[in-house]
Amino acid sequence: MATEHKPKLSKNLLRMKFMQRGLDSETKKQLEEEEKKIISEEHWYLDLPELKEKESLIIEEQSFLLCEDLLYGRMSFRGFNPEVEKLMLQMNSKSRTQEIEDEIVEVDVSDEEMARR
Amino acid sequence: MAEAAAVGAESLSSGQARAARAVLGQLVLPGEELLLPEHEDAEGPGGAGERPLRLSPAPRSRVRVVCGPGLRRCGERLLVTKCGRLRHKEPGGGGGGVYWVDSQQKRYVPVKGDHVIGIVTAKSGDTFKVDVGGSEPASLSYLAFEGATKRNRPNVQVGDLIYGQFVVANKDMEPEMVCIDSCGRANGMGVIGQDGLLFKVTLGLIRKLLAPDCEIIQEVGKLYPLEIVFGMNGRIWVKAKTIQQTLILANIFEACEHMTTEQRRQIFSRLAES
Repeated sequence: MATEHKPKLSKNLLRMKFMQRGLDSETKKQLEEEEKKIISEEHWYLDLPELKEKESLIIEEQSFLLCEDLLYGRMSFRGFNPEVEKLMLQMNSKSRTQEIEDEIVEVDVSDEEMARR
Repeated sequence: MAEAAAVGAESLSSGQARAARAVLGQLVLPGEELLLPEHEDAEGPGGAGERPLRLSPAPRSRVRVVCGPGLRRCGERLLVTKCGRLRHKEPGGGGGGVYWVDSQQKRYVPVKGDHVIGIVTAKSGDTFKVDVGGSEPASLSYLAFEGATKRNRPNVQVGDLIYGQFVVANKDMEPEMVCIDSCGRANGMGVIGQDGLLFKVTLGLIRKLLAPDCEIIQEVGKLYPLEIVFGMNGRIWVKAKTIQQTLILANIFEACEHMTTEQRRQIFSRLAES
């Protein structure tokens, strides 16, 4: 009697760890699939179009320093504050010295001349 | 100017984006859209709706363009946020250069890297609160001075004038100043000396005065021994040997914004005589 009519155990009970050992492979698979389904359904997802940040060719910059070649903000004239005057020369000549250096390089012996020697 | 305004209003009402190259030096209004050179052919006068089908899309010139103050990037579009004249600087080596709007305003908005003059309003623990004319006072750490250590605190009192630089300036955060550069040197930053006179001018005038070939500064420098500090926040501090000379300087700077070159030369020649 008992072999013919096995009492059906509930799914929740079968899913428990200690019940897994005695299960046959088919019911195991079935249970696993169901579990997967439940998990995937429970995952949240945003109902949004895919946010893809395109590489932008426009860079934002809110500083005027980049736009206009502004001088250093501290100034002293006719020897009022020698320290600041020294600083002025140093800070404001940065761009100019580079230009001068470039010129010097051009004035120097050219590659062709070097080859001839 | 009125003419330019009319042109600006016209383009706004028609709702068509103008090419940035075509309006260089002209008036632009907030809300206007500008087209960069590489977008011009794609979204030209025909509009975006009737774009011709191209079998082999022409390789877009991939140049980086910098949009400066007064402009904002909105996706692929370039929008104007301030009223003024559109300016452009050619790039030094490659790239698409810099576009910005030369506008007139009095309200200062902190920008990272700007040198400003601030007034110390409070000492709170490890930081000073500095009024820079922005919406919020800036914070300045007592360690951000040359040679300052935990033991050796800088001598800064409430009411002192500070010449410093912004290292943090976001629209949502408290701005933060320092008085040293990245190498830890003061480079002229720190507390500005005693006496002198502080006054405010418009932000546009500061930029005009700091331009490398500014006649006003060259003329002023010939008058008598003096010292000036310009803050990008519209503050100028001047000091000369006597109070009278200091006041003359302040008056010159305040007046020179609305003077023609001729008027200015007259005044300078008169000053040189006296």
